[in-house]
Amino acid sequence: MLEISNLEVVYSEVILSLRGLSLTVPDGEIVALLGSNGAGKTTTARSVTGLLGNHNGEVTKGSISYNGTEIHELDPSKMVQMGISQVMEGRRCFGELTVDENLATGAFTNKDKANVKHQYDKVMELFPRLQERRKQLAGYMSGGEQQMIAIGRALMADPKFLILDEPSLGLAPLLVQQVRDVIRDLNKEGMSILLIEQNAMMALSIANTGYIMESGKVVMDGDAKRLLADDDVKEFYLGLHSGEDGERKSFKDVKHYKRKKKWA
Amino acid sequence: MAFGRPLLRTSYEEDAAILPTAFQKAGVGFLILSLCLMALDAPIFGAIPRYFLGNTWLVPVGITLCFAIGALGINILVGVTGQVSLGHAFFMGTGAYTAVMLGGNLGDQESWKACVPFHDNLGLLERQGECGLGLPIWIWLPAAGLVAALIGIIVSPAAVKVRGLYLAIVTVGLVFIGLHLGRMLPEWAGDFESGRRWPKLDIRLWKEETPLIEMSEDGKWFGLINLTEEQKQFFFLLAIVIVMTLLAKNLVRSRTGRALQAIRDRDVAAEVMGVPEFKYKRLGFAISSFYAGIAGALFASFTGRVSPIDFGLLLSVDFIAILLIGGAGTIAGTLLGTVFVELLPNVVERLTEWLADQISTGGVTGTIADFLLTTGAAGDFGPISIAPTAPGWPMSVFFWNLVIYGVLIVVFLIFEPLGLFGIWIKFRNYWKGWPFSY
Amino acid sequence: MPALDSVVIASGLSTFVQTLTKSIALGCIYAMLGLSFVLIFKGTQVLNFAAGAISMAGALFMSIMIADAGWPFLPWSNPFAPDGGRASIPLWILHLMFALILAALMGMIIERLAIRPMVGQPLFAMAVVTLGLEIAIRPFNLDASAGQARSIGVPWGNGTWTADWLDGAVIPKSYLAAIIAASIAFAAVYFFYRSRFGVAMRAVAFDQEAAMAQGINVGRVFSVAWALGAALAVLAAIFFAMTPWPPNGAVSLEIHPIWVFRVLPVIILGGLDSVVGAVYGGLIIASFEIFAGQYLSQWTSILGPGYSTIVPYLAMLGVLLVKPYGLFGTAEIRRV
Ligand SMILES: Nc1ncnc2c1ncn2[C@@H]1O[C@H](COP(=O)(O)OP(=O)(O)O)[C@@H](O)[C@H]1O
Ligand SMILES: [Mg+2]
Repeated sequence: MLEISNLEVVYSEVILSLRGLSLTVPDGEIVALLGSNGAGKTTTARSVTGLLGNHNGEVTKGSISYNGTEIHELDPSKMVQMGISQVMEGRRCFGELTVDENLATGAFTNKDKANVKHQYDKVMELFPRLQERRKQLAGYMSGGEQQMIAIGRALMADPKFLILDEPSLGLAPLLVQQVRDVIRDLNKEGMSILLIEQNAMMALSIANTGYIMESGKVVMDGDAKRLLADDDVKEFYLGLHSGEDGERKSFKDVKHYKRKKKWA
Repeated sequence: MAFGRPLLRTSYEEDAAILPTAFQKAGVGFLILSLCLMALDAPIFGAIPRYFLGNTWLVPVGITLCFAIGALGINILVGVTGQVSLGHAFFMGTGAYTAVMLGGNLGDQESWKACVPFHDNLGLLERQGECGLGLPIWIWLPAAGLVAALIGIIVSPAAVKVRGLYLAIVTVGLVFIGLHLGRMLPEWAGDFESGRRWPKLDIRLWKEETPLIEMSEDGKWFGLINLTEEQKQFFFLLAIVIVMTLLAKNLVRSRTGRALQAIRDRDVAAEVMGVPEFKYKRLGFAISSFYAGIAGALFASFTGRVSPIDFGLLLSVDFIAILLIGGAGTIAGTLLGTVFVELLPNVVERLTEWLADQISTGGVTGTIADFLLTTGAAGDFGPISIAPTAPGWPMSVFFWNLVIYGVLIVVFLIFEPLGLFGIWIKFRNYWKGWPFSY
Repeated sequence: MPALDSVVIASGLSTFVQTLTKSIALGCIYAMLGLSFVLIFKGTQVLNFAAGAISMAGALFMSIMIADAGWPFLPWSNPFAPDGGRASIPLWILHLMFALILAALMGMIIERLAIRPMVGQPLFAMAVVTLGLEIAIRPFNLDASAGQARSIGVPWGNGTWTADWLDGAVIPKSYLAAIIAASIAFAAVYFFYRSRFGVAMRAVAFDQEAAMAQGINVGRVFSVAWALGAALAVLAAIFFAMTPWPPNGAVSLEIHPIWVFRVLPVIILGGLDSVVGAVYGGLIIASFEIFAGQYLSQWTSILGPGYSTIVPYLAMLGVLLVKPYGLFGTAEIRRV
């Protein structure tokens, strides 16, 4: 179980990006973390996996614990060894490496040869497309294939807990479906998942719980089904107008609305 | 200027002024005045440099002044335009050799013949390194800058095309090509190892016997004041440094300067903004080479005798170190860096001499000195050797100076990337806000 | 600087064969040094200007162990040292291994002290740190060599090998040794690149943060890159300190402190980040240098003594005008 409580993160000693974020991912569940651009979702992911240092960021308050261990000061390789893997925003495949080599980097901390083989077969089973392109350079592959590599790479470490940062970003609807199904399958096998998304529909449709964040803190949370039905959520994250005819509001109106929106 | 808020600038003129505050005006004035007083060996003032640099301090300081000009140039290229060049030594050499060919070997009908390359067939081999037309300084000094600028423009297409580290490497190539030219053309450069003599800094109208302004002998200046050769040269060089600094400062705040800065900050974006990249990069090269040329000519002339080896890669590195240690992009930082880099070895040497004197006095300092120094006596130890000839460990002060210099470059980059200037800003801001920390 | 022209000229064919072998041998040495640059650059994004001082220090380690029968920095004597400074081949190789291990350690220490704190700084700042290192290490080299050319006790000395079937071409054994050493080094780098750690290193080179997210220990990658880079530089320096190479087959003050800069054209040609490029670049640049040195030598009085040593720079300028990122390099290295 991952518990983030009252987390405050500052970049470059001045930019306050998270201000008192609290969030829990129970074992075996999918938790969706939603929010618009700049809300602090990626920052949350970085704090968990120890990558803040790379961006001159720092946890100034609060705590992050995983199965009871305090983890916010551990380095990234420790996190991977503890079973937390991350699929980074924007895929970040190693373009000059082949598909197989990309997967091998994911297995860097996995010392169990048999397990590596097993994970590799599993990735190939999940993404048969990669099977055919094993020797190709990742840099030349399509966005969807790169997302598969990124997910597969994270799986190679045999994680118990997976963080996915906007996996649907820039993918065609059909691929979004496929990614969603993969996440659901992984969860069925017992993996806990923190799914960061802007695509609220996709995320909430498979999540158990959802958190919505804004300007560095959680402004709403609850059961995914309930959030999906909530009018405000519909309006701001699904772009649906809750009113008379359910038609899409113009962007300008949403913006206008946004300014006065206030959740407890 | 608004009252009560000393740094509130209420007009662009104020913001762009050369010395924005009255405090700065007074500070610079005082600095120049005290430099002059030091050179004139006025009471108290004269003792300061003597204490830190020894009695012959005007020599290293003269060289420092020459380097300051070169440093202003590299600052325009690296600090302002953001083009990293390790080829500054090459342009300094260009200036120096232009100077010697135009100004060298006063008054000899035949002297041009010695300038013809590969002239062994002219039977002039014995005149190696004597090429020179004997022209006066008002010709050879500007020409040194202009020729260097011209060469800068000629090589700039290659330099503009490549970026970043590739540019640094290409300019290293330039230095080695320059060294080889020095080896190829002993007619111009003299012997590769021992070099040749340079024209003096005397100011003449034409080739007349007695110069208008005497610069190379002790004696009365303008029939007024008795000065040594070094003092005269010091004042001359100081004047040139002041003029070149004003020019550089003016450049930075002009339209051209802003265009150059735009290129540094992002060259593609600058181009989008309508700053023609190629034109301004070339201009940056030309200006910086001009400064380098002037600096090279003055340096060679002040030193009296240099060889092509003096314009090697280490000289270029000196300038990069000056920028880093001083703080790239600012003129004050550049000058500060020059003083630090060029004079520190002398200070270390003085310190060693002082330590050597302490050994015999005993006490705490004597013991420390004994630990640090090896005098050459049997059984003595210590990392610094002051024995007259001692190859191998312990090392001489000269070597230790190099080590300190290298380590300083590393340490500044790691701990204070803004250089001395950054330290000064921090210090100033601290006191400005004192006692409030923010 | 003396020209590289110590081979005996016999006939057209043998001259050609000799020149060719010499080019390949020098090319292999340049390529080893080029590889050192590329490994360090790929691994840590640092253009290592300190390679000259590092390589000379490593060669001096070898000399201290063999010629002085001691250990670098340590007061004890070296029990493995050969009598009279001339080792048998296995013993010499043993010392070569010692020197390479020491070089690797030196690389790791340098990385830890001066490079690691600079992570994330602009490329140029990191390159200048290495210039500072070069300046700081060089005096120790000059001091340790005490102003003299130092022998590294080459087992085959200045031995040569005559190929009668090639018109009596005379080929110094040192050339063959350099070619063999380089081949082994290239093979080792090739296999390293495909190993688990090598893949991790390339991943770090491509995207440091993404590599960290995979649990790759970037610090260790940096360390290994510098260890390998330093060892390769020293390997190159040692095979360049053998008899036919100027000035007289030893670790020399005239050559070793600056020879690294002659390799800059190699990595420019090959591209800062291309392993294959370093090898091709080395071979191409060396053949320019050696063939120009051999076949233009009647013009020496005009071209100046040692003109062949600047041929690489001219070649470099030519290449860059046509291809600004070298023949094999990627254009992305613009984060200055
Ligand atoms: N490396 C960084 N340095 C400074 N500020 C950053 C950095 N990364 C993100 N931020 C700031 O932190 C806030 C949250 O960013 P982020 O976590 O990336 O948002 P999200 O992933 O929800 O779009 C933003 O305001 C952003 O400007
Ligand atoms: Mg994000």
